Amino acid sequence: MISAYYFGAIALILIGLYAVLVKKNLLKILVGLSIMETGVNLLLISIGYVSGKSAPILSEGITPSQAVDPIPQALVLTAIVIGVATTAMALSVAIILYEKYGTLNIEEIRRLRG
Amino acid sequence: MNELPIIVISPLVAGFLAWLLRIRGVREIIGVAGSLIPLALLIKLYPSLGERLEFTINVAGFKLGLMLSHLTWVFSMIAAVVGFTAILGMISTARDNWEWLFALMSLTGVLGVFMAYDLITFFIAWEIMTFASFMMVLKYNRHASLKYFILSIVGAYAMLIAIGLIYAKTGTLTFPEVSVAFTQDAMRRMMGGSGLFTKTETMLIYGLFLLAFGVKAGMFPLHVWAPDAYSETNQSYTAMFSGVLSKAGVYGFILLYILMYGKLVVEFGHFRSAPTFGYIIAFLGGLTIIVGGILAALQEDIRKLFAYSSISQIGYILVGLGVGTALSIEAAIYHAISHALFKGLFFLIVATLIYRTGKTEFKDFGGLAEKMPYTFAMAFIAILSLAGIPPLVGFASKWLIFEAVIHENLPILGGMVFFGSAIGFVYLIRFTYAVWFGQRPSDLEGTKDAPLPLAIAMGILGALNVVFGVAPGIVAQELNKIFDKPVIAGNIWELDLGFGRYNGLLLTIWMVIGVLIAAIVYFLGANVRRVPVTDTYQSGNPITMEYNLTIRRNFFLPLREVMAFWLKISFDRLYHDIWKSIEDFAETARNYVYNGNVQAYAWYLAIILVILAAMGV
Amino acid sequence: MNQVASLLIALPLISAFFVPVLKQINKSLIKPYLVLITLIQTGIAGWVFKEVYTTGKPIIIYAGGWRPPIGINLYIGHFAALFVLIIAVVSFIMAIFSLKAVTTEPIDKYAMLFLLLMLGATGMIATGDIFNLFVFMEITAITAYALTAYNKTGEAAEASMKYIVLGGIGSSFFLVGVALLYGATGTLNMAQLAELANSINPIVAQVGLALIIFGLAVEAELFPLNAWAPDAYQAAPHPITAMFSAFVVKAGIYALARLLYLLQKASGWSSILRLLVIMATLTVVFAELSALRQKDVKRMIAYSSIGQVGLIALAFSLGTQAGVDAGVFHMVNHAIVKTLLFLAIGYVGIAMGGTTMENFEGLGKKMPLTALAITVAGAATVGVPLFNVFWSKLRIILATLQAGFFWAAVLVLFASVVEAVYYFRLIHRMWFMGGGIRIKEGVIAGILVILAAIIILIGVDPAPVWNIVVKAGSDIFNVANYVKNVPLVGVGS
Repeated sequence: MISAYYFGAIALILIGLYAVLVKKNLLKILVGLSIMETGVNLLLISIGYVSGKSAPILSEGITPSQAVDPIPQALVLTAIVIGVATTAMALSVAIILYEKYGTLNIEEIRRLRG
Repeated sequence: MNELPIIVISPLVAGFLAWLLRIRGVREIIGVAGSLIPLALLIKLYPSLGERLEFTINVAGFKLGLMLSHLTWVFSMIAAVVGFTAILGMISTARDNWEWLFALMSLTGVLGVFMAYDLITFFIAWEIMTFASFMMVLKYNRHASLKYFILSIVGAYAMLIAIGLIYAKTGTLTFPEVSVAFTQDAMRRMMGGSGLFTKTETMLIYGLFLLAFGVKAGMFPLHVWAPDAYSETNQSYTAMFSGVLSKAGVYGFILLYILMYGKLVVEFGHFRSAPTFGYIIAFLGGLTIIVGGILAALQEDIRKLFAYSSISQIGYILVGLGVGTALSIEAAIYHAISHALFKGLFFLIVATLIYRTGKTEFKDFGGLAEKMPYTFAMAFIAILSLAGIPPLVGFASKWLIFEAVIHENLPILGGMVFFGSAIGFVYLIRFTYAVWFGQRPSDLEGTKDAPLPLAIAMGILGALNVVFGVAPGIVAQELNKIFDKPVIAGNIWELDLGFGRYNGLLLTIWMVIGVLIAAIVYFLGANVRRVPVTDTYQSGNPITMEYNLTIRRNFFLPLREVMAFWLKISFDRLYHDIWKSIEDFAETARNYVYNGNVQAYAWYLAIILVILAAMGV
Repeated sequence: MNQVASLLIALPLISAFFVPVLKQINKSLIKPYLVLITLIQTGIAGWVFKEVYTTGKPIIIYAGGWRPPIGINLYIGHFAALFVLIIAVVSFIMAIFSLKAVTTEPIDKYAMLFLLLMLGATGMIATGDIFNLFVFMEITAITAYALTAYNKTGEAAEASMKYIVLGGIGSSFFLVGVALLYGATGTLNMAQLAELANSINPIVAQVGLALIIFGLAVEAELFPLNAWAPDAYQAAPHPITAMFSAFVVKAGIYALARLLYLLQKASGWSSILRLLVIMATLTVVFAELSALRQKDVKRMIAYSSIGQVGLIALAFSLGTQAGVDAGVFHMVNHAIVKTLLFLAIGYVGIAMGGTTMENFEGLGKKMPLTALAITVAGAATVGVPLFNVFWSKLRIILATLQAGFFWAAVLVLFASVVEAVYYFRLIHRMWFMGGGIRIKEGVIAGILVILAAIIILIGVDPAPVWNIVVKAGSDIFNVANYVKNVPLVGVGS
């Protein structure tokens, strides 16, 4: 049951996590976060996928039993929006950070410590 | 009996009211009333002690209770009497409103400890007592108060863990039920089965309780908080602090006997003629006597001298408790009573001295017997009592302890106890001469005698010292009722142990006759010759400023030099170093863990994920 | 009539989006408007509380009229009712405090974010669907990110960035966990998940549960996932810090506890519990140790708050009814005490111009009522009897020892000793060091005194609160009851 989609999704998550853990530039970290969220969305959709079935939109000739699971699609729509909001928020905070610290190197943004 | 909660709560309520209403005259009246009510109620309840007096209340799922039996009545009376006199003394010496609140709160706490019926009430009252007495010290010296609080809290939490373990295993918290559970456990072990508590668990519970009660009683090596805490607070309060609160620790040890005696004897056996667990207590008590006594002799500050003396005297009580026979426990409780009485008196005298002269070190005192005759008379009574000279109460209790220890064939403990008596005399001589006799410094010419509240308070304690000394049987008969058999026989004038006898009345009569004869001789013709005052203590050493030893200054410096090696071992420094290293470790850990770098934090998340993965697979 | 409870969610939402309109009318109306809305919310929450506790039945609201598990339902049981009330009251107090404390522009955005934060926490607690929980969690998180950075200083932005990165990772993994559980059971409804928990493939159940708990633990500030918390608490505006400490983290802990107990039939439950016990104990120890030599009082109290939250988490991870009851009690007590503390510290911050140790010297003479309140709260946190936290701490220790975790109890008590040291050093500094002239203290001081009185009142007579807490505790622990109360429509998978 482990299909290629699951591997792809998990790979994306791990790539995103790698970027967050290793990259020094703040924007790269945020991109990594975004990739991670994309991977999670992909995982969600893959869980609802049934091979051979079509998109879950009621129209001529498509009955509910011929569509993939619609719930993950709804969840992913919500999750994408949440991801957008988070990324937008993060980028605006990054702008303030660059204004105040003059750098985007994560190791130098360390005034609050201890 | 609905009076029991009133006895416990009224001091706290009075203290709170006294703190809220800041008017000078009113708060004193409320405060004194608050400490008088428990005393009055306890006296009123005395005739009905034969029936069980109980009060229970359900609070948030716990069944809290108060109980008045002979044992608890005796201890509560100590608290009430000495507490009342201390509060009276505070009328003169208290400066802030909150001192009334916290002094009365600690009185509530200690009454609650004595009258508790179950472990939770005991713990609550213990914590209230600790917190209130800590707040009394906080203003004067932060370091001393924190040291006191930390050691006390460590002890209290040790007790909490022990209570938690008992609750987890037996499911009950009231004293009778816990006692029954332990006795049944002991029976089971004696029959060869395995009980509810294994040997390690019993040792753990015993150790935790020893820690908790030892800290409060000031047992070596947990005594380090006492000298600083006793001296760095309002000295009238120290009368209650040293006289009563330390007895809470003593009561705790008696509780250990009541709850766990059978179990501890079955697990650990006997050592010579005392139970092993008791011998540990007694031995530590003996060390306390020696350490406290020697350190008391080396002090230059009156408050510190009496603080160390307090520690030393508690050692006596612990020795008596540890030996474990009915006689020795009665002797220990007797000494608890007499210590509360004479130590309370001593600290009130110190409070008077500081209040009238503002000085605290021996080198600033001298010749005050002339200026403060009443205080001197009280001091004389207290000195005789502590030294153990008949016909005062100190003699009766010390004699009982000596007899009990010797009767059980315990030479080491006996030696320690005798040594304590000798060293007691040594530091008392210092206090007697340096403060009351000899040359008077010129700035003390205008000192007046004790103010009225302090005088009344001292008078009460002094009178009790004399009364219980001349008629020691009064106390002994009360104590016999605890054990329900005549452990100490005799009538109210006489203590009869079967192998020794002390008749207070007879001795008093003989002493009075002797004093009369001496007075007649003095007035009839003894010649008085005036001598100039010179330094008397040189023994061939050249006189230098550093080595100018008088009774008022560095009197025991040679003793300090002899003991120099032993004085280097300081538990005080040890605890201080332990705490310092904990703080330093905390700072390093904090700077390492919360280092401000987001990526490090993200790595923590990754590590937890790895751990979760490892657990799943 | 029960539908009124849905106003708990609808009211803040609508009012938040009404704020821009208000801004056009008159800018100075915004802050009083905030007070008004939180007051109305308190009223509704109080009514809901009364309803649930007098009838003993939870209020269940179907969103859109669809019965669960087709639709999303709100489940306001005893626990939710209690906490929604606490959230509303704390928000109300903080709205009053914001009148004076928050002056940075743009104030209309602040009001919106404030209301949405309140909404998010309320939603997290009141919901009965796991994805709905995720959505509300993200609302709470995003508004929290924004509010942390509200002061627009360098430190605030840095704290917010840390929160974003860690929170983002946490919620992503939470979603993975939800995905796994959905894939295995086909439902997102919490009651149905509880029913189907033991029929899931063990590995999937374990991984799913672990990831969900991981995601929530970041929000609930467990060690070592709480590294964002001290910075965020320190840099956020004063009313917001109080809200973080009083209910945002509690919502996270609640979700953690709720999901943990709902899925107790899943395999691997006891090993997750053991890991949580270790993490919670370490949270307490490290947080209290880190508070020892702080120079900034706000950061010190932030560490103290994290430590207490660790204690609550410990109580919940014991797996016994006694532990859950003790944990809920501590949640209530902690909310009151920390609201008081952060309110007082914020007040000192605006009156004295900062929250470093030097600003607190001589506070006893300058602002005696505030100093008194801080003293009461400090003594309460340490666990002195006659104050409320004593009862909950006692219960937690007894429950821990009963469950057999001896070393956890010892470490927690050690942390308590450390706590005593730094609180009493602060109290000493306030009353006995330095001096000054008396400053006039306004309404805030009145609120502080009322909160202090409540602390003492609960300390002396904990019985009424304890009865409520026991009911709330059984709401979490007694999962069969929870499932029974939700009228699930049978659906084919």
